[in-house]
Amino acid sequence: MNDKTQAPAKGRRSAADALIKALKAFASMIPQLVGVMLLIGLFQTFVTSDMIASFFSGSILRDSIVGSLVGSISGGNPVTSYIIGGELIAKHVSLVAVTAFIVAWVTVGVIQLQIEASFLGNHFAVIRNTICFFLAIAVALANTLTLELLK
Amino acid sequence: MKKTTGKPGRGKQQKSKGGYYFLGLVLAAYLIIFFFKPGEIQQSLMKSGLLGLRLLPAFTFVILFMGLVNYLVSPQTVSKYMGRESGLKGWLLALAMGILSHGPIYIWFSFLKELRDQGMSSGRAAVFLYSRAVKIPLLPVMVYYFGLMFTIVLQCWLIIASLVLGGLIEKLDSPVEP
Repeated sequence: MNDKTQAPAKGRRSAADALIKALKAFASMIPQLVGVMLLIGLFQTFVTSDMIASFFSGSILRDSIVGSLVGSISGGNPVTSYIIGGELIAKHVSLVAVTAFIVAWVTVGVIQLQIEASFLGNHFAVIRNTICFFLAIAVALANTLTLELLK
Repeated sequence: MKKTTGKPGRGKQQKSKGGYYFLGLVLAAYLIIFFFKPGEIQQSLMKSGLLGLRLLPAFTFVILFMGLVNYLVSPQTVSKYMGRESGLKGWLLALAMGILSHGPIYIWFSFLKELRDQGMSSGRAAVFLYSRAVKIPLLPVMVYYFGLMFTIVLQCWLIIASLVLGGLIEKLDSPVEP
């Protein structure tokens, strides 16, 4: 197909058609969106900051892995992760672990993995989330090291 | 082994069924837990309902944004600015779009699918998703809890990490040649 002849035709699509296409694409997400929101509701009811604090042991490397793991399976507004992170620091959990936790919270999405896979492909979703899990640990270590150097 | 890349999702029917199965599983979990902890399930439903209400403006924004992109942007434009050959400007555009986008990550999957179908590379899509960790409106909250220096340094590392992720995904999730 000739790209040059196709482009103007696409540009002339009516605004109503474009909006209907967007609405249809979004409507196809609704069952998954409702599922994810219900899961987040369950998480926020059953998982407390005390419960999360109990996972940490004091070892920097182990705690950063645990932080990333807990952040990965958590969900909800990032502000919630900051509040929990603040409480964890008050309970003497290391900054590396808390950083890994808040970074994984916003970058890894185990709760929404199914919806991500259905829209962007299984392979993409799995490798993206796996890499992000390890990146959360790396970012946490790099961030803490940088802060130490800047002191 | 053939990878499920390039054109994500395998047919609308299968995808929509998958969504209903997922919702069915979550509802089944709610039903089972309800027998043991009915009060907590009511709380969970309230929290989920409130979350849905809070997200309504974001949903509206995403639908209008997707409509606007459908109306104004051609696959050729997406390919040029966000495709594998778009170079540095493609990475920076994906980064800026991710930082400026708002709302939860999952409401953007449909939008990204549309862009990927029109030629956006997997790496740029990953950069978009990761750079959403830089949340400009929430920076004052982060400063309040963790301090200014922590916040500044973390945002720098998040931007670097998003580009590292994009590069890795670009290599690992390259489309299968026909």
